[in-house]
Amino acid sequence: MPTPISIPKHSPWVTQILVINALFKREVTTRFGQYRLGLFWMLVEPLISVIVIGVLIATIAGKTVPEIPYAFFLLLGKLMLNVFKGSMSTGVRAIGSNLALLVYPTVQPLDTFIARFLYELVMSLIAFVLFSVVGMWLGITLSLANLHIVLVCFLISWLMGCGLGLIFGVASAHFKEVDKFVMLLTSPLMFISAVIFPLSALPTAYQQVLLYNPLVHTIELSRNALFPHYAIDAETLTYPLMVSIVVLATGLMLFRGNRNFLSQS
Amino acid sequence: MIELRNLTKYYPVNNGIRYVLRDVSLIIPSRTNLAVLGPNGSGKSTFLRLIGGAEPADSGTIITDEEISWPLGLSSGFQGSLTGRQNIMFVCRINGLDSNQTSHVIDQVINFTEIGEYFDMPISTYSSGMRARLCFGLSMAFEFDVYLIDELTSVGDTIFKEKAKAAFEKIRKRASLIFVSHSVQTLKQSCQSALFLRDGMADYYPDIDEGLEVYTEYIQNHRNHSNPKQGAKHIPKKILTQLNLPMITTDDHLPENPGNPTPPPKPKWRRLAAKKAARRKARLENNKSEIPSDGAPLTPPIARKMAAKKAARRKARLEKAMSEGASDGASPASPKARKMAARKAARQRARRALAKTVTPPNDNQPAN
Repeated sequence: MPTPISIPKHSPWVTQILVINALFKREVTTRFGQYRLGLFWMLVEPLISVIVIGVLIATIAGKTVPEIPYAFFLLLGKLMLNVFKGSMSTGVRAIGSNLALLVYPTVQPLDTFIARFLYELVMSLIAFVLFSVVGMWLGITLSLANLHIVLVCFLISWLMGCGLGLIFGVASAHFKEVDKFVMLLTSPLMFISAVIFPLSALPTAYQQVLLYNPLVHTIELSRNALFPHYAIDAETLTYPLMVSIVVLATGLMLFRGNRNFLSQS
Repeated sequence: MIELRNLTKYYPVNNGIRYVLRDVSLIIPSRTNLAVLGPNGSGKSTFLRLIGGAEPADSGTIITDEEISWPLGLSSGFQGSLTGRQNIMFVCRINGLDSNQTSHVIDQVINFTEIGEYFDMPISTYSSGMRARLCFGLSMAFEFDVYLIDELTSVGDTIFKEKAKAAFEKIRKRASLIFVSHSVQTLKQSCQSALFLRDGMADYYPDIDEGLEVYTEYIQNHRNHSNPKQGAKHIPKKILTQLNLPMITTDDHLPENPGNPTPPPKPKWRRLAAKKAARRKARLENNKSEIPSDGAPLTPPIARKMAAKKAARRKARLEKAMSEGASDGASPASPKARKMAARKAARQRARRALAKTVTPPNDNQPAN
């Protein structure tokens, strides 16, 4: 005779951690489950774009960055951009793709966002560590004294992505078009975030414009932290930090205001 | 006991607001199986989601000291891209079960569902019956005081229905049900009390029969506004045909002619079939009379040849069967042996049929 199991009682904090953990694992299984070589693709995708762009820019345009091996220069920018872009675009569909699981009373809509955001951060950090190790093994000298700045840059870019992901996630629950809008928004990001070229390569007037993009700050600062010879002048951590706080606060407020609307459907 | 205090729940619709519950206060006692009644769109599923805590109320509170399950429905609870096992693991994880308990739950679900290899395939490949089995099996592996069931048992086959019934019987001692279903039969069987939802109001009836009566009456009175199919379920068939006649629409006409209504016209295909049969009969009689007289039958010669062959074959078969029957009689072995022989013959026939369908291309090959 099978005996039913009584569900153990947990405090709200423990419950939330359990739920986020479960959602995180669900995220990993669905992302990696579809492909045989899940983690492999995770790493290869930025590599391929790096190779393509690297070959184009370095050989055809003949321009390189003297202070940093160009491949690593590009990779770092791409990873920083990905942690932002990934959080933003997965946040948009966070609720939609977990709708069926919201029926369990302990699973709250915010948990689906948090799980996805954490997934993006963890994966980007893993990729960063792997690429760094491989780079150092290949003979690239990284200055590890300022590693904490790189980490802060990652976190700030991530938080901005989270804030925007929340905002767009709430918006897409009201208007379906937001999905497409976000896709349009993310496509030119690579060119206006100083991913494929150093900011100093631009004319001063354009530099001033691009500096309004907080991602330029985090990307350039992280390059400077790993390669001290790489020159930067106007970039600060304060500006992207302020932006991320504002964006995240807006996102959380919007979420709070629409809480009831989001959990029904 | 579940107490609703001034509970209000509404949805925004195109022009304004639609209330599911409007300032409803009521008490659902423990240990009574509650049937939730109401026309389509009256918010039965939403009511379950509210009770189960899957959705917040707009105002008011739900007070309970009972362990309530999540709403068990067809469209919810499982992520389509995950396999059945992964979904079950997810539920175990969010409830913080250790690995022992998890494997216990999984074993139990496998035993209950009996979906075999589908257990390790994505939920999106499941039929609705398999989904229902999984959902039901999972919830039965946990100990709840109240199970919320949303039309779950209506899709299963008889095996599943029997299993569900047995499970209901088993949990009756320790738990109760809140049941949404459109099958009056099921509700009557398994519920004692009823809750009737409509237009934001909720009425509790301690006696299910009373609740069903009120509900049926409401449906009949609102047939023109609500889904007619649903209303039609509860009206006896004879009266239904009369209701469809344009003349008799009010209720007071009904008792006057209680029974034998004018027989409805036969459907078209039946009339056609009857005509065809008549024609065939006529032709047969024609043939009978004509063949011997002038020797030029209506049927073409090929057809006749084939018929003759067929008759010969049948005769051969009959003879064979007779001889077999004789041998059978000699050894009054058993009906089993006869059955086996029949099966063997069927297999042979099938093989022969297969060969027939295969041969034509083979005939062509030498020509090529």
